[in-house]
Amino acid sequence: MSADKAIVFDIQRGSMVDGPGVRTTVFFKGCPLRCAWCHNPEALTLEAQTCISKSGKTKTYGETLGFKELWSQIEKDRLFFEKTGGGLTLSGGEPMLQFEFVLELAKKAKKVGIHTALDTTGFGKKEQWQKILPQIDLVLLDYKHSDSELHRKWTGVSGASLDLNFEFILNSGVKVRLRCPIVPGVNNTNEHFEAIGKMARRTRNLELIEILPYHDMGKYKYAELGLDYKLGNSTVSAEDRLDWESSLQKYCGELPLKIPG
Amino acid sequence: MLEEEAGFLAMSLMLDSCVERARPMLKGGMEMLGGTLESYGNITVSDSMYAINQLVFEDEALSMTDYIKCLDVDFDGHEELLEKVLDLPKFGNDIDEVDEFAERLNLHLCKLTRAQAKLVDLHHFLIVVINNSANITLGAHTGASADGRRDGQPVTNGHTPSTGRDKSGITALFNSILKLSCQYHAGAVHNIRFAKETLKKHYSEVVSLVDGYFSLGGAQCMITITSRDELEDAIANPQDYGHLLVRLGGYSARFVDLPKEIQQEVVARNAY
Ligand code: SF4
Repeated sequence: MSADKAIVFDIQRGSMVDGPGVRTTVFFKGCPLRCAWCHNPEALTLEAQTCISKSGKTKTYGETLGFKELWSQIEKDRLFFEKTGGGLTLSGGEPMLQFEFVLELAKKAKKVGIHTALDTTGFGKKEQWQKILPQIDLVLLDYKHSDSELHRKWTGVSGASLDLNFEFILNSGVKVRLRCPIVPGVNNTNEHFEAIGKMARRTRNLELIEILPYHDMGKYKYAELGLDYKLGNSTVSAEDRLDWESSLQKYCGELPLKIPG
Repeated sequence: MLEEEAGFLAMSLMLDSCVERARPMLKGGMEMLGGTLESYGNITVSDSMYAINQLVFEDEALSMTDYIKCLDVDFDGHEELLEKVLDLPKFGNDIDEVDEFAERLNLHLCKLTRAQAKLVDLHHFLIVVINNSANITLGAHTGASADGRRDGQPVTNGHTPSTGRDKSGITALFNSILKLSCQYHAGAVHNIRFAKETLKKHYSEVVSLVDGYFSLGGAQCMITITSRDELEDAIANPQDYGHLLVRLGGYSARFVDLPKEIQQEVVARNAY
């Protein structure tokens, strides 16, 4: 991949769930992590994947797009971005894996005044973060596990390996929305909830703590792709959410917190 | 004709020009008399024009005669062609080449109708594209069309995309609609559906989005809130619900692509 070509597996226009306002979310393919709960397993590899869906249709995940091609898609909703306080969200996968391209995109958006959010695990080289942060208006930073080794167990990558980048992002002054997937049996513990509060307080420019309750709606994609789904049938009940809410309130009381109902 | 049946005398009494001229409304009493003509299934037609242009003229995949033959038998035995036709882009996805046909048809109908005012003895004669539910009745009497609509299915309603064919998000749909000139007709309907959950969770975004649409020149917008029943219907008739997205942060999926069990779960949770 380069600065003028990228592989993406979806473009969602009119999204209201990936940052403020109405947005176009570009899902970049490729991710260095392997979260057990990942709801986009089609995001993991950097190559296009073809499979047969349950209904017998051939499906291809991943399309290589030129810069101009993708940009023209994004530009189409510019006026709606302005009207709704929305913009562009770079998501994935891990968009930082296609850094050159993503950087160019963010630069271009900045130049024409399109608000840009980067949905990331914090992965990447420090120099890359130094280059990209000034181009980004909002970082949607995934905070998955407060224990470094358990982080490795559940995502394939140790928490410690992301620490420096987290530090850099949180201190940069760029607006951050902490996105916290809560997965029963993985990180629904008081220690983690407490750590979320701490992490949020360390953030110089915190916009929101956004809780993403686990759901297994990505499960069918594993079957399609011939991958193993490692999490069982853990579901999140309304009571679970209430429990989390009271615990999170305890640790994050004064902070802006959003738990979807 | 109407005048022969009823003189509208009581109403005429209330109108200055009728009183001044001492004539009933429809017998020269009116200063200005306008009328409208309704057209139905416009988008069915424009999507069909696009399909014909693409398959017959651009790709030369089949001849017009063969196309018509397939339509005459409602695509029976021509499932491959049907699939191909259905896969072609449709109005409502902000694709200029497709939307252009809708605008060409729109302008053609508007101008042609306006030009007939004298002929029908009116001061104005304009087209309206409103349709209420007549698109269903008329569709029931209309054979298969070149956009992949089967024999007897409803034709499109107003300036609304063919059901379930707007798959590129609400902003794309608004952009498509905005490409249709609205200054030459007497009204057109654009049906937009929002999921109840979306409205509940993202009220201010929806409001600013609709505001934005109007400030960009949108003329009309008929908003319906999708209920749970409709989602259940989506499980049974996925082909009609291509626009339904499962809205969860960072998650990429379209409702109709999900296996049945998950669709049921989504409906049960009402979390789309
Ligand atoms: S970081 Fe995101 S895309 Fe990557 S494996 Fe984890 S959940 Fe999936």
